[in-house]
Amino acid sequence: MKPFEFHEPTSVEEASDLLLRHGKAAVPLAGGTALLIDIRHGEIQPGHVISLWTIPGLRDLRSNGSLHIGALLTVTELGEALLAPAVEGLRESARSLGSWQIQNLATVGGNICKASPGADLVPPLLCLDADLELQSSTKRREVPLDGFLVGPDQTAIAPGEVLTHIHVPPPPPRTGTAFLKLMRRQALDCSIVSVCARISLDTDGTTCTEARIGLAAVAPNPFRAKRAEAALLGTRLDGETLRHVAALARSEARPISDVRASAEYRSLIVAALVERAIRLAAERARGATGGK
Amino acid sequence: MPITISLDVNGKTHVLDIQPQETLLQVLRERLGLMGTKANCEEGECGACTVLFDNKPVNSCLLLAVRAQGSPIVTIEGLTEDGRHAALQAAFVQEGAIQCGYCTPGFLLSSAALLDRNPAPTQDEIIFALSGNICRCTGYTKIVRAVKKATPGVVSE
Repeated sequence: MKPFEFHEPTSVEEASDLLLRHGKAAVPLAGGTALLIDIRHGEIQPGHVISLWTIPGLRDLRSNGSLHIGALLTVTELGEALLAPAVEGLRESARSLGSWQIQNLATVGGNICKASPGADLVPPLLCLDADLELQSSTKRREVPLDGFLVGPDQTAIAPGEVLTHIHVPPPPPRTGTAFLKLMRRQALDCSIVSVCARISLDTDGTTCTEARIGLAAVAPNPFRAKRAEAALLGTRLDGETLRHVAALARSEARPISDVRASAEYRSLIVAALVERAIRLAAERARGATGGK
Repeated sequence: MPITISLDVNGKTHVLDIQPQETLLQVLRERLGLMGTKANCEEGECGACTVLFDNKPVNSCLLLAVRAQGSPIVTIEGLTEDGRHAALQAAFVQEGAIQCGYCTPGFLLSSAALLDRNPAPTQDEIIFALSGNICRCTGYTKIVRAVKKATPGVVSE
């Protein structure tokens, strides 16, 4: 690896100042599972690596109806903390990311800010309407995750900003999520396609009142298939509706052909996984009925 | 610019002057002479460089040594000295779960971390715990069998 200077700021303000001072020559270090590979391969050559690990308060997880996730929470820690049907899809995505070794290093904030087309945690976080808390030395703001990713390896983060927390609002009662990911092998691979669905049901336990569908690895960034979501509202999620919704989601995807799969194959898989993920999320939503 | 770090490796404290870009893997092998930790893919795919960091398996090729301060690190040499997982290591030998041996330290550390957390893992839990380690001799069946044999809750024949 090319030499760099290593910085260990002890506050977000200090990290923000370092990022501003060194501009494009600086990168923040979270888990490092992607960053170190990019540096080793020469894809980036930072002169300054700004570790976020010496900043207190970025590894916490608080739940008070809403879920407040510190950006440096590891993927293992996230997965172990999630128990409710409404966040089961997020747990599944955490569990499927990389390998146990990777999950022990990689962080929630890193998975978001790397902005990979296939970022595993992003589809469920989109489905859960997550907001991002961004802080610099001069201000703090919250933005929706939806819209934050603006291309492969590109986010709408401003110079000097650090992602400190991810906030997930309380899902409605009778909500379930499900995450499905197709890989060439069952670990340590980027997804060919991944899909998360969130279904919220009416008090009757059958009518869909809210729906989210997040797709990854079929566009420059993970995104919500909003036309497909809209077509679920007010329905009873019957077979005909699901096939129609799956076709809509397929038409919203913009897959490419690469070493893992062809665009055509990805497109077919989107439809298949969307239908399955909706069924599974609905089943979990019904299971959540009694408790909430 | 060199930096001074302090690492807790296999129960001993090492104070070292290193370059910031050195990974834990490099420091273990090149500065501490702990050659049981293997350098192979260097992108977190193969698991040959697995060590325990704060009792959790991690890829030492993806962890900067400077970041590895403050938590205990265990390598295969430490696992051997400790003796706590002697039954696991014996089971690998008895089941023929060692072929060329290159991946074995990583597999043993992932297995030890699993058994420390979960003394009676299911087949699926074993497979998940080992999914970050690759054996190019493809000896997976024997490796899984060895972990099962070493499971304290299971009576071995």
